[in-house]
Amino acid sequence: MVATCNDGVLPVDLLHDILLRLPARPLCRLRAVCRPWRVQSPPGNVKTWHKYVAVVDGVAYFVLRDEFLLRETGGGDWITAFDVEAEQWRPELVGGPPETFHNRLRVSLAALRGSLVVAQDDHRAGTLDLWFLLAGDGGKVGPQHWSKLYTVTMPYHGRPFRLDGERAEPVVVLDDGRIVFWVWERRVSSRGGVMRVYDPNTGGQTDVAAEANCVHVGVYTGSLLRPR
Amino acid sequence: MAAAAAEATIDGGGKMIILISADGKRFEVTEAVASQSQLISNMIEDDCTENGVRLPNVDGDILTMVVDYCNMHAGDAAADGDTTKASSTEELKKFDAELVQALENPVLFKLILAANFLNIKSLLDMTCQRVADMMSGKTPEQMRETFSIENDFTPEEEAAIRQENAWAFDD
Repeated sequence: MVATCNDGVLPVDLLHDILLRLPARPLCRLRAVCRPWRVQSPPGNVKTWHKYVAVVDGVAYFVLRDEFLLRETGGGDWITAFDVEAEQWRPELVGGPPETFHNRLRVSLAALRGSLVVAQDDHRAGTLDLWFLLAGDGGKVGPQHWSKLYTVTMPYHGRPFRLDGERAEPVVVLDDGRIVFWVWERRVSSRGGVMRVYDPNTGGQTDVAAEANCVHVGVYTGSLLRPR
Repeated sequence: MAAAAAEATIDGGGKMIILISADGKRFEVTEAVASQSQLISNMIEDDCTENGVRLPNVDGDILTMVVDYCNMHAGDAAADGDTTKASSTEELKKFDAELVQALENPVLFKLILAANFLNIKSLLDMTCQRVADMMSGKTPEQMRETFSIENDFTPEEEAAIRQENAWAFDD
């Protein structure tokens, strides 16, 4: 660790504690001060909504800025990575899968089978594509490192697409290959959703559990005998 | 000697503990005061404060401030009977504000490091907030000036970084 406490210089180790207390604007300006500060601070306006965060192999990935903003800027790199062990933001942004910002896609991040996954939700087509990041760790990650392993047909009720309409996010791939999705509506009047199990071999879908007043579902990986 | 002091009690009934700074200065405080440091609180629980607590990371002048702060704030944490010592909320706010406002940067940073090492959450919050306030509303140049930092970017790099989040740089 670079513990520099020589006369009057803010120790880099402490920067984290201070970053937590800063709003977005000074946070961005901070990145332009010097190199040690740059690696400690998040590159841009990080979204911390659950569906925009995924943790894979000790690296937490976040979606930068709003999807609609990205669409206007013609894409570019829009995933930022935080190394949990080193407690540092990776200097390089991650480029997403190809054609992410086609104007009718919505994205979410997930960690499935040990890979970072971008789910592209195409409401008009009623499909959800799952792109797995299968290579490119360490160096610059671009569109070529993504593989589309699944295209799932989603029987949406609420078509045509509405901003507060139904949306689907992948939660986990089961040992037998079936995929569990969390399907929910953003509309306040109908908060809640269902867990939908999809079988890629048959295309069959089963809704297994309905939850009210819930906007996100995660997977508990610890032992159920010793809940913490 | 230290052992004898450690067993001494004051009228509040609290056991006394000796804190020893990096430069060998000794501070005698009650357990209640010292327990605001999670580090020391754990040591008290583990019964290893008998011979005084050595704090090799904390200088005497910084530890003086920490002890003052803890003495002042002992009332909030330990609300067990001894109300005569507990300071009023108003008094505390004034004390806290004066403590951080007056500090030069090098001292402020040392105080943050000490609060971090001793794990005194309220002191860490307050001192970090002070630095965050010093950063707010400043341009990168002004931040470098405030924190005596050398600009190690090339002009091209700096321009690219500003481009990344251009919205944050226009006033």
